[in-house]
Amino acid sequence: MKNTILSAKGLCKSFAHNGGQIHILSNVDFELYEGDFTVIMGASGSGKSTLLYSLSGMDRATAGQVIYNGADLVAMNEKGLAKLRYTDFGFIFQQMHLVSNLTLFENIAVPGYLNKEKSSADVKSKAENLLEQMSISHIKTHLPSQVSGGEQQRCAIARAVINSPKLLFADEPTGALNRKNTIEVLNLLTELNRSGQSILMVTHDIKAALRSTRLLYIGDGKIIGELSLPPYDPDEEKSRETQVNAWLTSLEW
Amino acid sequence: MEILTLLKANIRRKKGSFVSVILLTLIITMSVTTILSIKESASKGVNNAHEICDTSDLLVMYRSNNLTDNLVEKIKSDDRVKRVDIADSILSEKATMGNEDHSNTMFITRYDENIRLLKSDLNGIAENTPELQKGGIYVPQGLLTVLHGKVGEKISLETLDGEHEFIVKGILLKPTMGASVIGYKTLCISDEDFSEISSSVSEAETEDKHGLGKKLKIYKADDCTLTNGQFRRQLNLDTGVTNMSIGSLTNDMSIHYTTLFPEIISSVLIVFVMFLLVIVVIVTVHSISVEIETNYVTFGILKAQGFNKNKIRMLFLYQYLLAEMIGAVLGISLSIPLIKLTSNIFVAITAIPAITSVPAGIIALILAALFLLSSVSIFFVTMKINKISPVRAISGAKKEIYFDSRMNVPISKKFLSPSLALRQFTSAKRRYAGTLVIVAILIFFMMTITQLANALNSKSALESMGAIVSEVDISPKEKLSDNDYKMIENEIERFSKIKKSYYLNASYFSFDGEEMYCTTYKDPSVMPVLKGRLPIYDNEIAVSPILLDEFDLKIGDEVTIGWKDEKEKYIISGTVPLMSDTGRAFIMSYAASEKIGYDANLWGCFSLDNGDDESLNTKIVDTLNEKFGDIIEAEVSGELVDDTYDIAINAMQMIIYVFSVLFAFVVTHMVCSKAFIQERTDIGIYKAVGFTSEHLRFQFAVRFLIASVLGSVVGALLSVLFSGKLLSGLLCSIGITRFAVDFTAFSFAAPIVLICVCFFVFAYLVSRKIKNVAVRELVVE
Repeated sequence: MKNTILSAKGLCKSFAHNGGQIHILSNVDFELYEGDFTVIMGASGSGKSTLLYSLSGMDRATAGQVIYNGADLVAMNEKGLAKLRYTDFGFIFQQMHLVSNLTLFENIAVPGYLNKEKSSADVKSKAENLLEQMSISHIKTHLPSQVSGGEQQRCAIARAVINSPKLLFADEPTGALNRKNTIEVLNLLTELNRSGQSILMVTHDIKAALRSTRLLYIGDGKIIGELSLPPYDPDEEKSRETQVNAWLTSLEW
Repeated sequence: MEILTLLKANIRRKKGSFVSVILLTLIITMSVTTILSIKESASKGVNNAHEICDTSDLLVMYRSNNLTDNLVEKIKSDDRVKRVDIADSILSEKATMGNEDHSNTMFITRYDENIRLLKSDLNGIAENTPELQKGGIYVPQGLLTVLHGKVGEKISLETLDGEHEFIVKGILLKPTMGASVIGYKTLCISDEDFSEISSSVSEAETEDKHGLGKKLKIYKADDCTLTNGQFRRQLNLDTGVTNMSIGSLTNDMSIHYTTLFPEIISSVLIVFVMFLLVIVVIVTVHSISVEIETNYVTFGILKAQGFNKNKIRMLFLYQYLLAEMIGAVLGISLSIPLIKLTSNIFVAITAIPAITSVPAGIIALILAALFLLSSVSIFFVTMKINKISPVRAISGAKKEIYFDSRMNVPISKKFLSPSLALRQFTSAKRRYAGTLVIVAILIFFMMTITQLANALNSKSALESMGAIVSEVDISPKEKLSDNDYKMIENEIERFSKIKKSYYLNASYFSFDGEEMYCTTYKDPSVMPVLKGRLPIYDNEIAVSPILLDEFDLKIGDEVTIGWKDEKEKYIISGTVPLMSDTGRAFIMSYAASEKIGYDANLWGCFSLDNGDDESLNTKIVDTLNEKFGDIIEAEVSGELVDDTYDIAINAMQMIIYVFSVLFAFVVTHMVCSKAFIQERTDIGIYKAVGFTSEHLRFQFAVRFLIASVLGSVVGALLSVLFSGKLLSGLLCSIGITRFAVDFTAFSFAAPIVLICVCFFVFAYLVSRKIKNVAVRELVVE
């Protein structure tokens, strides 16, 4: 029996447009389990990123609830959400979004400094370890504009996990990367998941989706399909890809 | 047409910058128009008053016994003289209203129907002059200002025969001697009173004491091409017209003294406003520079669509010039009611109602200068547009920006927000360079005006600028011996140690034929020296730098000094700071003055160690009057600086402080808004990793605090280096050739703290938009 780490009930998100409303999410009910590498897939404009942002508290849902640790993120104030972001949640963006005037080391360490429970020395040591783990310690004093996209994304992953989050959100983390860098980043995420990190990732890259242990498919603002997978094994990638492809085809992907 | 469409779109999209430029131009235009109009109105009022009152080119005042028929005839027969009018008067040396008194020579004249009065609200010249009845008096506004009195109150005048009380019935228009800055005054009483008092004074006159006077109004011949100053000098050399006088005043000098204060205040404010104009240009350049940076892609697209670089540059030119023109039109419109309200603001000092007038030509020139300066700046700053390639812009291949800086300090956990703010500052130095320059300008002016205001209340500053600073003064009733003075000093020292004793007298002497104010000191070494040395021997004098310049003299030169009919050659030993008669003055030892027959009782002025203890000063004065009342009259020294000036300088200080705060707000708003646009993504990132809006707003405010602290340091440094020079330049017209700056911790702290707090608070307030930035904006669909 898996532990639920985050759940959504009747989640709705709509935007005003030309005097009317566009509904992106319609009554989404959803549970996220501890230790899972959950991937949400869906066509462009299906609402997968909106769901990710609503679940992570980065964006406020129009209606419904997102329950984390007994608290509703939809009703939580800015201060509470900010605290969650540097204690329990980590976030990886498609465009990396590193702060341009901070070095890679500083980009990783800054969210750690926000965490009052950690000493400066702890944060620095953890950042150094992460730089090693992500193989970017040799460029730690570089600015984001001085390193490659893959190195930037690895730095972004390190930043997302500096506070040992309970849940890591990733929005198309390989979307802006070339094939080599994509594999490196996916390997890192797989490694993190193997070490117990819960991950919720949005992607429309099948190669990325193969790393998941649970696949969700979103269409018309609702979750319309779910597929459970065993932990990723590179030796079985071919058969896994066939299985996922067949499942996606059945959902008219 | 296409430019017009883009222009409208640009203005709609960037209302903030557009409105800010309008606002800044509005403030400047309104200030320039108002200040110049006040100055022009005061000057026009003065000229008009001189015309109405038919004032003479030269006014010479005598004790009746010193003006002989022979002298009058000599003057009248001079070719350079067109007409001479003589008016009888009763002399008064002291006027009192309530607790205030004014000691100087006042000429009480007889009512005549040609005199003119000011309206009761001082807003113009009255149509009618009611005939004065017994007991009534008309006095100029300058005297009421000095005495803090008003129409309807009692005034007491000391004349040779005693004291006379009158009720002030109206305000006399006396353009030559009405201003509060001119010591001499003309008053007017009824025919009956004049006859009675003059006959009583006449009876009280002795061989040594004369209480009646005559005023000689001398008009230049139409073909006389001499300036009034040259006219006075030449006439005196040929006739001795001023040698035996109490004093004389040319029309030009009177106008100079009367309009001195409005001139100084408006000069200081105009210099300040001109620097504000520079600030507007800096803000405009910064704003355009940021717009080009943030709209790189848009300009690339425009170029791809066929817009050439010149059309895009014209877009900026039109947009900012339009904002400035709207600001100018609004500023001028708003200044009209303001001018009406303020044009007469100096009447208490000039004693002449202003005539509202707007110097349209000068204002148009200043605005043209602003537009030209802006156009040139826009031309240069928009050159960047030339380099935008459509292909690179559309592909997003914007030049990589490296934020490397040698000034980077590590990000620390303990000071996370401040250290991040510092990083944001050091990595975008150019963005804050404008703010830094603006703060430096504001701080420089705030500190300069604070220096001016402080100097008025600083005894040491005034002393080093030539003022005699004392707490207890004595005026002898008879010639005193050194022993008498020693006894008086001993008595004072029973209460407080004497820091400095001045024994002096002052009068007008002839200086190379020209009447000049001279102070004679028993010991001239009490004065500060500027160049050379103080007079030691009885053939030496020291002059003000202004006099040295005016007569094209140098230290070591010889000049002829005359007193009545005696003349002697004296050597200039050095220069001294002198504020009397706006710096047209000199000093010599009493011994030196005796050589030409000057014989006066020396007043004593004592600067005390415990001078700030007013009750002690009163006690000393009471004791002196009690013990030496038969030979001296002691009094507590009056205020060094008249309240009117104090109020005017404080008002000027307030204007500069308020404008600085206002500019700080608008500038912060503009720079902050632009920084906000540039950093929107970074704000989203910081929020995504757990920073709250409060954290980020604090960082914004800290960045502006850093810029304002650095700007303040630069401004303070500039002030230390140049405030004295600027004030000396502006105040040399009142005799201050070397302004004594007196920097204290407070004079640094007050403007710096105010500006830094303003920038911090304004940046915090303006950055409230950070609340609206959602992390969602980082999403790329």
